[in-house]
Amino acid sequence: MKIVLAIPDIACGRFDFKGTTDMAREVRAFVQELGVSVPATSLRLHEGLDQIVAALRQRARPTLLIFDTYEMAGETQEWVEKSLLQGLIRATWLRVVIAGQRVPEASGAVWATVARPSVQLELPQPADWYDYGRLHRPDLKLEQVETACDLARGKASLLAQLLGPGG
Amino acid sequence: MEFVEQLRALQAAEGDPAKLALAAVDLAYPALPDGERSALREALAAAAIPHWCDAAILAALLGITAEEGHLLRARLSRLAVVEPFPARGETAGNVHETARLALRKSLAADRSDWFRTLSGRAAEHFRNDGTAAARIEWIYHRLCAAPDEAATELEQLDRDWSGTVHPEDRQALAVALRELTSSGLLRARALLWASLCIAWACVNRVETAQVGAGARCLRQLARDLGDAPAEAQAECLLGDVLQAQGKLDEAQAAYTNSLAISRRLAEQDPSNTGRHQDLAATLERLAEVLQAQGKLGEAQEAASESLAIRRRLGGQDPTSAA
Repeated sequence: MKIVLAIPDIACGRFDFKGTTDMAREVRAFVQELGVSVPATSLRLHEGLDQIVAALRQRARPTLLIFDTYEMAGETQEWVEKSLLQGLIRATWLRVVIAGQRVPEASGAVWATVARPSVQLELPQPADWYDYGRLHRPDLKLEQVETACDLARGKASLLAQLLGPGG
Repeated sequence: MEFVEQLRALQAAEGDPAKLALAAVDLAYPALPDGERSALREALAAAAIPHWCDAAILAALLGITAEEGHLLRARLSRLAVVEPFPARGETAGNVHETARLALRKSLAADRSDWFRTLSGRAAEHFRNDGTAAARIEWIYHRLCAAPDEAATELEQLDRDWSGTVHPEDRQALAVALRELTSSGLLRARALLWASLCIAWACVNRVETAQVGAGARCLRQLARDLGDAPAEAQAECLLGDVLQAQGKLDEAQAAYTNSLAISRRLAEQDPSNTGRHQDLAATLERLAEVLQAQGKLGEAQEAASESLAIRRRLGGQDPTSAA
């Protein structure tokens, strides 16, 4: 999102389904960089999102919408898959990125023709961590990083803490 | 702390997920005195109790001042295992799910008294907050702190929410309860009522097939525990499952069983509006299945009785007429 926001003329919003209830604050943050009005809080989540997309559709300028923690979207999954993604076929100004432990299945879906294949993120290997760690510790050895990966059981948050700028 | 020492901190965790999560403190704050690092590890473990945490919650959990809460929360925010949670406030954050669950499980197993204390304090913190997220958080912690009382409170909460809150909120409640049942932290009535709420959430999402044989298991568990209200609910649930399967006669039998229990409970405790609400709801279900069977006279009778109860309740409490 940071990269996209730096590009003028592209509106961008990120929505995290992590909360699943009391989403008013998340909706406010979502529309912040989209330049549309905040929907009424009395609306159900999918109704509010629908209103936001309707406003974006009217404007029809390049827009990126990012949805995170999709596995927690609950009933809103239906809105995403049956309304938002289907609308992508005609909405050439809109791109949608969906991240999560579970993402919509494109095969057989109406919107499959406009979908990119899902990217399965894999844990970085010791060599990747070594390259990263060397940015902050030039004297780092690959064997040390291999040991660290082994001891941390490959946990990215720990390795990022150990090998990142503050480690 | 040298890199080798940091590796030792990881080694000491011996691959244990909870200890590895706590080791993040040593990696992020190598220069901090031992005592402060230890306090920060305690804060991280406490922050893993709720689904999200800010300075006020942290202070309430640890019984410290607001100022100390702010300091610890600020330090926790530097840990890669803690991420911002804007939906719960600008300063709110949450411990990554895997680490959070590992820390909770470890506390519950190794320091059960402290786990219950923290859960009790968390419940107390959210007790008077009427937002849906806070009600879910409240009951989630109550079920860990005082399981038997909380089972009754969950029954009441689910009844209050039935038809009055956004379906997303009931689903979110089911997600939180599923987390507790999957982690093996609930027993007896707490497990029974949490499972019933989860099952109802499935039914409300028209995923009755997912409940399947579970309804019979819950009925048996309710009987074993001598929990008549839960048995009535389980019979009702079973009726819904059977009706969805097109087994109308069996569904009618299940609703009739539920009705008998609900009627008895309502008669035993006439001032308990919840019992009358349950009775009315069961009568509505029975009326529906009788109608589907073409037994229109009996259906009319059940529907009329349900309506009379609803009207009576509406006169006592306008909100209960919904």
